[in-house]
Amino acid sequence: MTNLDFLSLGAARAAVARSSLHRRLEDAGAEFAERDGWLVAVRVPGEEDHVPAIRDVTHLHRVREGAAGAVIEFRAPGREPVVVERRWNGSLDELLDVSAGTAALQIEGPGATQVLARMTELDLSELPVVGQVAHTRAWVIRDGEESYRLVFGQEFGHYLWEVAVDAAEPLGGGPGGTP
Amino acid sequence: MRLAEQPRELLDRTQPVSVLFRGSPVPAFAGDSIGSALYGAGQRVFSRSFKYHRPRGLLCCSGHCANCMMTVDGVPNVRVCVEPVRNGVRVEPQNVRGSLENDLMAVTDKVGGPFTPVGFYYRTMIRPRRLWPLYEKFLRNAAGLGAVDKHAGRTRRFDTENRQVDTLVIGGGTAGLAAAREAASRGEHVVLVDEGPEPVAGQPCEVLAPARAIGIYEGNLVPVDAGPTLVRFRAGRIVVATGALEQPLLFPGNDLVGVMLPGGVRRLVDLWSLRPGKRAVVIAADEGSLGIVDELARGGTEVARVVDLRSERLGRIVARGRRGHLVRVELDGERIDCDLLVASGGRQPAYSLLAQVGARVEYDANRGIFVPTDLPEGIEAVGAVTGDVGDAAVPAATYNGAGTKGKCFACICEDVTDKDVKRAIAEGFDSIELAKRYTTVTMGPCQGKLCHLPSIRLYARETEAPEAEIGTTTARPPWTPVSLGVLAGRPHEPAKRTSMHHRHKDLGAKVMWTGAWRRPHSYGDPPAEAKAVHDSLGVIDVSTLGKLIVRGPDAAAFLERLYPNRYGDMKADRIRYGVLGTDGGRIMDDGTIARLDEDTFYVTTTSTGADTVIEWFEWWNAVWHLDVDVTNVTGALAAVNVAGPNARELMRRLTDLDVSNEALSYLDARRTHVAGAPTLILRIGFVGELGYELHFPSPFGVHVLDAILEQGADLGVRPFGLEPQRILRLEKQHILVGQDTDSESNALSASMPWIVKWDKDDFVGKWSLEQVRERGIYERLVGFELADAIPGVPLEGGQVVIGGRPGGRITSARWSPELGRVIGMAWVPPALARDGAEFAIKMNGGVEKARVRLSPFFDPEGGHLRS
Amino acid sequence: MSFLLPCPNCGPRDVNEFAYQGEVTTRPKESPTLRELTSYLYFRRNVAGVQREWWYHRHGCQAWFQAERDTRTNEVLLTELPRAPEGEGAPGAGATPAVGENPAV
Repeated sequence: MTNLDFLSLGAARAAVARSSLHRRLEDAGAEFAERDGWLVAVRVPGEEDHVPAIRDVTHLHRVREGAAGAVIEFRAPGREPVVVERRWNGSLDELLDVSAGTAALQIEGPGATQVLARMTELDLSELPVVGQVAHTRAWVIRDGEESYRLVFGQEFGHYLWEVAVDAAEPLGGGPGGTP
Repeated sequence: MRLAEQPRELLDRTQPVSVLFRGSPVPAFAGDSIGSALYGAGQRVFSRSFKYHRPRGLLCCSGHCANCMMTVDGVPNVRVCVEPVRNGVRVEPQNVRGSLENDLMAVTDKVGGPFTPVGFYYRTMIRPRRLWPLYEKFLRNAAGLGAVDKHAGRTRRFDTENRQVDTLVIGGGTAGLAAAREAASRGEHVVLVDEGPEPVAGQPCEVLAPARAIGIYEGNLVPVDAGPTLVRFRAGRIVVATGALEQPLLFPGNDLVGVMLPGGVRRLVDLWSLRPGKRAVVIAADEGSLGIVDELARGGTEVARVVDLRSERLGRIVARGRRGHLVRVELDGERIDCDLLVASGGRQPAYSLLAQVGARVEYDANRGIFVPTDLPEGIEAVGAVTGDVGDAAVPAATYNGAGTKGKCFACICEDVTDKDVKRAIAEGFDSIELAKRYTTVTMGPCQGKLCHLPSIRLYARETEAPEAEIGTTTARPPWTPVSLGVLAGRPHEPAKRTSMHHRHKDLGAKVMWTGAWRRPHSYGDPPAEAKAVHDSLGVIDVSTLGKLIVRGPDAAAFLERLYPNRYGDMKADRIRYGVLGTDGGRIMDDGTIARLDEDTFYVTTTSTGADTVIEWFEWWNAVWHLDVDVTNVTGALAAVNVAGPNARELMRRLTDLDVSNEALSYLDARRTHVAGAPTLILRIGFVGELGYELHFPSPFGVHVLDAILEQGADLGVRPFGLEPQRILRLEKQHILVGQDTDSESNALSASMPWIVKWDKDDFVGKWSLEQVRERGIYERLVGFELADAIPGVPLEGGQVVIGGRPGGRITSARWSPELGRVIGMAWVPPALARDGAEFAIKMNGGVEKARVRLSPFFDPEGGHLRS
Repeated sequence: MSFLLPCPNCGPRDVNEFAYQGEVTTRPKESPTLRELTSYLYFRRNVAGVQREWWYHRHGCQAWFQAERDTRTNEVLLTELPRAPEGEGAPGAGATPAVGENPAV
């Protein structure tokens, strides 16, 4: 198989990665630290009062996707990995790592379900699914009673962050960091 | 007058509140509606009618008619009869000049009648035509509802929420509650919605109230207006329990203040403990309506006369008023003084939601009502809406006779009288759909709830056809008026941004839309940015390009079938330009194809065409089932183009790769690291100077751009946007698909015949192109320039004039700072596609001369590109 | 429009998750006459009744599939993934692309 390293985040030599949500978190006054080659928002002022919290988890996710299906993983040190596999047809071994093309955010805490119900028509009792969220395509994964992760095209990062934080605001939610 | 505490009143008398009506405080209690508060303070006139400005009072007290519409806290057309009070709420009347009691526009009632019959605006105020703006201004001011405050901005927040339920029950009366209870007992997830204002008697399941179902759409989708939130329900099963609506009787004076429906009176007394009048006459067609006599007794109203239309026949009813208020009723000559007339012609099932979703509606002649039938799967109806309205008399179409004076309204919302309906039929509008549109009956705020059935009865009498033959008009959503804000929800616009977007803004970019992308138009000085590319070094963000990895044993064969070009003979790490066509031979998109190895190709597309091309590739492979995999990496890879004489020196500083012209030539592809990021380098040249297109993972966008700006600083690097890029590519006559080509253009007429490899067996569009080649082309895309002396730049889309007639069009035109003249591209007749040929273009108020140039304006040999 | 379209991979979803590509047509097997070519390119049956058509699950699994839908009522009778052409090997570059019996395109 030919060298497709130019797709691979792991093949970098001393290049710093930013998620497409970076500037939004910067505007919210976040503190950043370097984690595994990424600039991560580790703390956002006021996050203690934001319930549910909206967090950027792009740096923790990996996606391999193609016509055969998809494999999505979230790995964070000291936490249980979240792994989702969906197979439409064919083998999942041939999938390309296209993690550079997606961003991920987490909606966590009481009210998360209602926030998500204001962003999508998808039936949240039948997760994980990939479908329409806020007029764009996203994977919706549940990793707790009131905890969800969205994986979507990184070019919509700015927009989806805006939609999620706005939907959460009247319910008491807001941005949070990823320590 | 406020009564002593009633058993089912909604009031909390321990919580007084104040309503500001016309600036003055009006006392009320929590639990009052604004309408009940005003009524309790003595207000009887609530609005002035649409056309005639007649005074109108409370009629239905259920939010159906238009009589109580006022402007509340700046929001027009609020039905105050059901709008809950809030302390300090500001309430103003609307559509009056003067006051509610003394509306100057009431002159239209006295005098305007003969001048403004039904459909008058189709026959008058036509000539002289130039006076129409004046007529329109007059009409708009004279008639109407409330006014929208154009400066209100976003004063309210509306959210949209999605819910899935097993069963949705619409209507919280007896039948609806029973259905909800039954479904819940079966373990179903049930939600019940009710429009209020009575509270739902019991909680068999989750109840949403006050909440109005707007319609039933395909897929059992029911949007419910629940105040600040629009709740979109998807239900496995919908139970419609919307009940039946009391229908007014038609007689002269039926719109006077003091004429009310039984339900309206019931609510005034039971819910808000108000006495509805001193002395009343009751005319009813069914048992339930007759029961209002009890309420009236409880409220201390004297009941002077009761008519049960089931047993007593009436020929004539006339209501007489003074200054619009009821003072007397005449029944077949018998005169009864009164200030309240409770009149009802029976109850019509509220079938609209059922009709919207496909139910049929049938006329029951015995009871004089329309009944829904043939419900589709997944929809049920219970209670009065099924036609279960009890024993009722069928009222007469009208209760006036020849010579009876006074307007008899068929449609109170729109001020349409029985004479108007007769006239419309006489003019030939004798089918109900036509008559509706001509008279506007049922088109007002009540949407036919109070006038559809009575008007059908009237048509039936006037055309001497049975009601069953007349039928009903089509029921459409919204079933109740709904504000646009609720439908709009939150103001979010799906926008795509590259990973370098904010750095562009930091650098002063002027951002524009291209398709769904936000992109820099320029950084403030397009000519200077274009000049920098020629003189030193420019960098542009092209991350928006569509990008595909096509791989597998059949990858080459797949591309051969899709494109007119040849790809099978490409060597690894080489690039070719490609033009994608439809099976009709039309140009769809263009881009570059790099061969990475035997079985792997890297395809780029235009930015706005990316989604279409990917879907196109996937579709053809769904048909052919070749052994090939197509992966969309458009978002995964960011891309920048660095171009200019100093581009090579920049590349030397950013990468270890040998970037000499021998090692990395024009149309070569290389994989390496640039600024520490794994990168695919494509040496191509859309902007005509030595250039390198760098493709690398999106998250490194800012990192790489910053490195370029830093390392290129002493090389004169300057970021450039879409506008300078357009100038540069035009200098090279590089086409923009969709700008220079349209849905008719093919490779031959677009002057790219070399793209098509006729010896290939088959490819998408081959047969069509063969036809074009055989039959000849009728237009050619050429470059052109204007002589120096001509001022201005021709409009894109501007006309090419041949023999005094339109003979072509301009697709692109710009002033080139590098060349010092206006250049462009245009479609012209093939005979003119000769270097140096002249043609005329429409510009500067006349025509100007343009000269054809068939080869690129700048560096036609391509020396810069290949250097 | 809000009917539910059952994607063969994902199950019933709101139709707005999908892109519609029109009637399933039959591409001519060999070089067509001008009339046959025009008919294939531009004429459609456009039935008021059950139509076989292409859909793409743009916001979901991104598979292309075919549906049979009654155009009068939007009732979807069936959906299925397109079948591979029978008995076709994968042709090499330059070989005649054959469409086979698949009534697609």
